[in-house]
Amino acid sequence: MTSSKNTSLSRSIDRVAQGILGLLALVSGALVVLIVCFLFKGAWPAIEAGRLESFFADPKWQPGSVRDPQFGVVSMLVGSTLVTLLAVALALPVGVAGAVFHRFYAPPALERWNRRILELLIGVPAVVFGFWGLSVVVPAIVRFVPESSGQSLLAGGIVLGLMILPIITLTSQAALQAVPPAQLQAAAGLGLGRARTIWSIALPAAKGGIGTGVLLSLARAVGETMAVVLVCGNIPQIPTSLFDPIRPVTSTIALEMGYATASHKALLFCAGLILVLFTAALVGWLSFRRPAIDSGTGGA
Amino acid sequence: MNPSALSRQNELNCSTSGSGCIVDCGTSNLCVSELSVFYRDHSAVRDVSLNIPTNEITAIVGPSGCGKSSFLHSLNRLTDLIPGCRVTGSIRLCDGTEITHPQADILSLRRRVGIVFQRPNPFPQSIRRNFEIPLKEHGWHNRDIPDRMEAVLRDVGLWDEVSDRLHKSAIALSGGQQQRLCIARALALDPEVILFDEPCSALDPIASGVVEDLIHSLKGKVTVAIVTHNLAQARRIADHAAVFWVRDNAGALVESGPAARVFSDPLDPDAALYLSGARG
Repeated sequence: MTSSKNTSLSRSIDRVAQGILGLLALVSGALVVLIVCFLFKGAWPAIEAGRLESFFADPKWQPGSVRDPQFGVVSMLVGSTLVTLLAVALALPVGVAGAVFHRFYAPPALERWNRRILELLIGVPAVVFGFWGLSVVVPAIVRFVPESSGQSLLAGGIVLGLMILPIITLTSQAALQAVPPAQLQAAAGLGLGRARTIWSIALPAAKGGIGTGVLLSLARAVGETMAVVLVCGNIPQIPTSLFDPIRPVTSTIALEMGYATASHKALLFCAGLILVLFTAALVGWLSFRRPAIDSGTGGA
Repeated sequence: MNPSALSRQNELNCSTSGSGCIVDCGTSNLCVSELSVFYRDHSAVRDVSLNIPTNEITAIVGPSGCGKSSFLHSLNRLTDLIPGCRVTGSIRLCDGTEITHPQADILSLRRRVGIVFQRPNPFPQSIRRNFEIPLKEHGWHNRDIPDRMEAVLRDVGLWDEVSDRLHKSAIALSGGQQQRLCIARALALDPEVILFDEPCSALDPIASGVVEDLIHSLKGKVTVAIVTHNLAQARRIADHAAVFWVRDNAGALVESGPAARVFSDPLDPDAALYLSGARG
């Protein structure tokens, strides 16, 4: 009798737990939907008023101007894209090289410490990166190119690059660790040297994992705000050189949301919506792209 | 083959590999003496001395855990890949190259002593790349690679099956095809010895038969040492047999000689029980 009571009790506890867990899981999923709805609601006045056209057609961004208000956001989208791509271009070779070194050359103890330091680097707040960029990177750029103000696309790329470096390194390292030992054994059995084993066997096998790291860091970099506000110069223009100031979409939102009114605010919501959609597209690509060839052995 | 023919063949084999032949191993391509393999403090193989005759098939048999694979992997220094693994003793190629020497050129050594593993392990890239990567590493010119690839794929009977899809992934092949590809890949480097580590045990019976016939066909062309759990297979293809057994917690060689004699009239009592199917 007691045991059957216990069973029914544990069953109902289980049912309650299931309900609570399900609700909590639902909340986090619903939050994303709510945020997107919220952005839509905020952006709706601009969409309804047909502002989206001027959003992409206007050459300039001067929403506050009374005589000639312009709402062109293209320069900022270009700025966001360029600074993100520059950051990945700088961080990818360094990150992959670091991962290769730690996987194939470094003693295991060093590899462990390096991983800890990288994990720490992920935790450094963006504002600290921005501050460091402002007080180190920007003056360094001025020293080499005196005619620039230092706050530039390049400064943003370097600082963002450093911020995503640990993501790329750690994901690359994990991808290289996951190369099946059978592949490395096959390479050794054929008398392949370390360089060719890395270049022709390990890196191709780790390509998928490294790509995932790149997409993750793209999503991180395109949404980064604090660091780029501090080092990019914040002039909304399409840059003609690495040393021109730019103003990414995120900076614009952060700088103007505080005082924006009415239609201006709605346009900032539009910009935010575009960023979210861009990130969603990246994440979608991440989850639906063809998985890397199963590099296991044996098979059909 | 009579002894003088064998020794002639040995000289021939040695002369093609370029340097003078040390004939103290007789007709052997690989002379192993007092080889021990340790994993940290544990010895997996103890004091094995065995000659592996040139261009013939030597089967290494014994129960699981008796050090056969450790022994085989030490023959081309794959044991180097295992942290904490240590090998003592001597393994000589017929030209006197000492495989266990710390300064030995491991990469060219592994070209001369190839290996095929239990599970087929083609690189998950195109069939063509599976040949290009090792051949380039060992100094082949791009223009010579297609001919070499075709020749060895023909040798393993795979050419007609894959010639129209050399650019496709090797992983898409069946298990038996993958294993033949791996054998072709090893053959492409023109090795003197090929080590087979239970090459058929991950294959279905039909594919296993094809691979077995293929290994049998290598007799007379290349020296073969094959570890197998399949005694019937060893009987069918081996010219020489070596039986490993666990003695004092370490793998030891308890019986070796011409296959016909070892299988019909083993001297060691454990080997006799094992080969008759009564133990192991």
